Amino acid sequence: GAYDDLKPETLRYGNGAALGAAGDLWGIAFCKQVEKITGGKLKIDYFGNSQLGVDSELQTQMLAGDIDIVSCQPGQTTTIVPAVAVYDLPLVFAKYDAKTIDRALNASEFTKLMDKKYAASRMICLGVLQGATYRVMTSNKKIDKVGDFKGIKIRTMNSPNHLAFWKGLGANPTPLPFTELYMSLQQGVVQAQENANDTNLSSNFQEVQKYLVNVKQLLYMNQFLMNRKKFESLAPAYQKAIRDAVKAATEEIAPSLAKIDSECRDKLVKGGMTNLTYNNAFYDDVIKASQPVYAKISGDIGKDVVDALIKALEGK
Amino acid sequence: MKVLKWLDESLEESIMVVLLVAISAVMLAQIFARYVFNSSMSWPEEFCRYCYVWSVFISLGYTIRRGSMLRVGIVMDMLPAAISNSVKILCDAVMLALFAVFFRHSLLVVDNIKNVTGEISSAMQIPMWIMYMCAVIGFALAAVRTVQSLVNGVRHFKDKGETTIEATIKEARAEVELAAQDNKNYGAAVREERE
Amino acid sequence: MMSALIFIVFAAALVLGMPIAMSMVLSTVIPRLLGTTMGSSVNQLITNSFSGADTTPIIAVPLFILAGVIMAEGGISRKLFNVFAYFVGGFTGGLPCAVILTCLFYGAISGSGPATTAAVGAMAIPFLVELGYDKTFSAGMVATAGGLGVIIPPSIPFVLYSLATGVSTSALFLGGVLPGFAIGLALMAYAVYYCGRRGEDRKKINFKLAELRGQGFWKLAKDSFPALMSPIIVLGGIYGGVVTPTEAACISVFYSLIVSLFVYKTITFSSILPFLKGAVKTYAPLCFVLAFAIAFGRVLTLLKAPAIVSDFVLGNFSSAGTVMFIIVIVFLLMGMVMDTGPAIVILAPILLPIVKTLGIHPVHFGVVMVCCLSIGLATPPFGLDLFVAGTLADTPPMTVAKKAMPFIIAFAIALFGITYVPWLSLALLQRGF
Ligand code: NA
Ligand code: NA
Repeated sequence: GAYDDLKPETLRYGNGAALGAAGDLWGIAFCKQVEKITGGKLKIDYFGNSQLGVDSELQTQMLAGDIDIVSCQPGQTTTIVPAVAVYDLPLVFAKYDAKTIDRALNASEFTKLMDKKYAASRMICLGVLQGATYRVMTSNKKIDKVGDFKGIKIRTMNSPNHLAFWKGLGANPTPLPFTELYMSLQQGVVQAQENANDTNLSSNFQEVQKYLVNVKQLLYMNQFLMNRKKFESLAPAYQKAIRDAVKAATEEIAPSLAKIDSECRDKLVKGGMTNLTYNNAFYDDVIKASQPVYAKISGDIGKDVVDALIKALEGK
Repeated sequence: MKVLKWLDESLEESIMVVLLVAISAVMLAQIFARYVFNSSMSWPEEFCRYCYVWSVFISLGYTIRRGSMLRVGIVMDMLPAAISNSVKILCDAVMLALFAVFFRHSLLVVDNIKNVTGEISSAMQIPMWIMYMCAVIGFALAAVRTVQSLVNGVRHFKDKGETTIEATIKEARAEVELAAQDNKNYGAAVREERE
Repeated sequence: MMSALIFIVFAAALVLGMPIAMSMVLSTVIPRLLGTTMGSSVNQLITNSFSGADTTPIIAVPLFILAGVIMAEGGISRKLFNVFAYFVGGFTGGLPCAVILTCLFYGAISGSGPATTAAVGAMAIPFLVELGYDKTFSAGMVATAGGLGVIIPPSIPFVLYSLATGVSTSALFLGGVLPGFAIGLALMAYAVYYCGRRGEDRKKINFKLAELRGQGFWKLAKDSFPALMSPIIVLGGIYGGVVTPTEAACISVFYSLIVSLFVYKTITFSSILPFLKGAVKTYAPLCFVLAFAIAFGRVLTLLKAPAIVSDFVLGNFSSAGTVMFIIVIVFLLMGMVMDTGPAIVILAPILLPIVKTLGIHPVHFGVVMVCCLSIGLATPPFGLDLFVAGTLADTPPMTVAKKAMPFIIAFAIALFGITYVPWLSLALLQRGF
């Protein structure tokens, strides 16, 4: 086949997703696909579960050429590719289905624009995994209306956009190390936190949290990133194999994400949590409260990126 | 001369003391902000972390200068001075080579972050290459201190050096002196009460 | 193969007296030195050690050490001791027991073993000798009981284990409470047995006790109140949902400073700088070792060493009991010749997944490792607590070690109890405090 004349290569792949989380399943599926497509000529040395470091460290090492492939959520990518902050726009994905979002992120003018942004930072994003599921707020305080966010101490990632969003709602966002989060929720150092449902379940937050608050603030998504120079140095056949493998892995895993999310949610509910859902008026209020964040992000990364995403989502 | 002597004795210590004070004060302020003003800031946590990172790399020079790096000294202590001193000089030479390599590479790391990746810190939005300068400075100081130690080792080649037991006893004595201070205070207080 | 080579170079460098941190640095550059692409590049080692230092929980280490240095001068150990002596001084072996209890409660203030030994021993050894107890016995007892300082929270070794494994520090702190009491009880049992067999100078003791009790309970209680408040503020802060363990360390720095400056007036503003220097001196040797241990661990991961060890262990042993027994023995042996803090940081991430597979709770495993470390502080030939107590009693450490032996055995019995009764480590945790 096409790979007979190529010399075997091994790529180092670090994944920031926890064992069994969506991003981990994706990474494992990718490794299998590459193996299958190239008949074992291209090998992937896979290190999941943040074994080679958390997201920010993985990216640093990938850009330095010490790791070839990284997959991670976009939260920490903004420190290198500022335009990725576009994914911090509160609830920007909330009213679209998985297929629409997939087209916008993986096959649109917006994708091309982002490709340039990643390229400027010497990396290439070969795909985004999502299933129109969201990072979910869990809380010990019932949230019925936007006013209920007032004063609630919530642990968030230490990113200015995330902090600005929660502050805009009147909450008191508090950066805490993830390792201390369970105990801090149990003891009441903070009353709330936000993560995807698979993380919430694997961290047993149902034991220390009462409510699942579906604010849909951030899309639960994973990026597949590679060191651009490394990618371009590979034989074209390998490049194609990697692209195809990412696509195939995404097609394999993405449809199950909604199911995984709802299964995790059911288990959380079974564990004693109450699932709170909201009508459109609530979401409109949240979006209204987060207009300053939209303005901030537009100012930081340029209105063109924001507009491109919204246009792509609207299918224009 | 006076400046050199101060630098030799207290450079790293002074930096580490300043960093420790900064960490304590800023963290206290953050706790206050959360409870008294009911509002957390995003920068204090990151600020404290980077202060600590700086202390980590500065601690290299500090511990080499004081001969207080953790080690297992039991085997070398049992050997005659000529052998153990030679081994010590050899170890210092290897360490010097390692520090030279790490110094060179920390420059590369800084250069890469500054000119290629352009990473910034997530909360304070400070360029990360500035943070990574602690590695450059830390390894440079460590190399200088190792040269000092090498020169010392060659100069005092004939002497039986301090064994690990002696060093540990010295460390123990320092702990005891701290506590004994309290006993002196107590004695003084009792005397005062009686008077 | 490469991982074996790395371990051999690491061990050889250690034996030749190279600092632990530098032995790690040397062994991690071996693969690249040999011209392979295995392991990490030097750039990667630098960024990995940077991120090894770049965590919030680790900041608890310098802060707890600083708080400990300030407390040592605050005269807190004496005030605690007076309260315990008031209650148990009348029984056989009562005063030695009061010393052990003081170590237990001082442990709730201090995060370090040697600091506990020094603070309690400086007060207790002369006191016990004055009352006719054997000097070496007293020193041996304090050397062993000082180890309670790292088992009762707060505790620096627990912070290290937490950093290495990602297990919550506050969960570990809770896990240490009952085991600390169990060890304290074992030590007191021997102290009572010893005093019963040897006899005590009851006349002198009762005279001293009468003097103490003459002050009245309220005076003692008032005197010791700020000292007793310290663990309540630190632990209450954590488990009352006010602060994280790192922030609690910060609070304890300022609390001890305020109490020593304004309530006990044992220190003045001019002594703050020496405190800061003292704290730096104590934690500086830990800083780079801990940070680089992360880089070292990553190299082992890249070489799949943890998987190799895991396959070997799980392939040859199937019972958690056996594996735990072997780990405890290995750590006890290591503890004889070195401070096992760095060993915990390097080995815990490799061993935890293995024992987890065998059904051991991560908090329980952490408690067992820290208890091993604690006993190592008192075992000859090298144990910092032993040296501190020896210096206090003006006795060679090996002589102290002989008298400490029964205490060490009592400690070891408690240790095996803790190893095989997970309930001790997990009960408070499951109560959801
Ligand atoms: Na303690
Ligand atoms: Na020992």
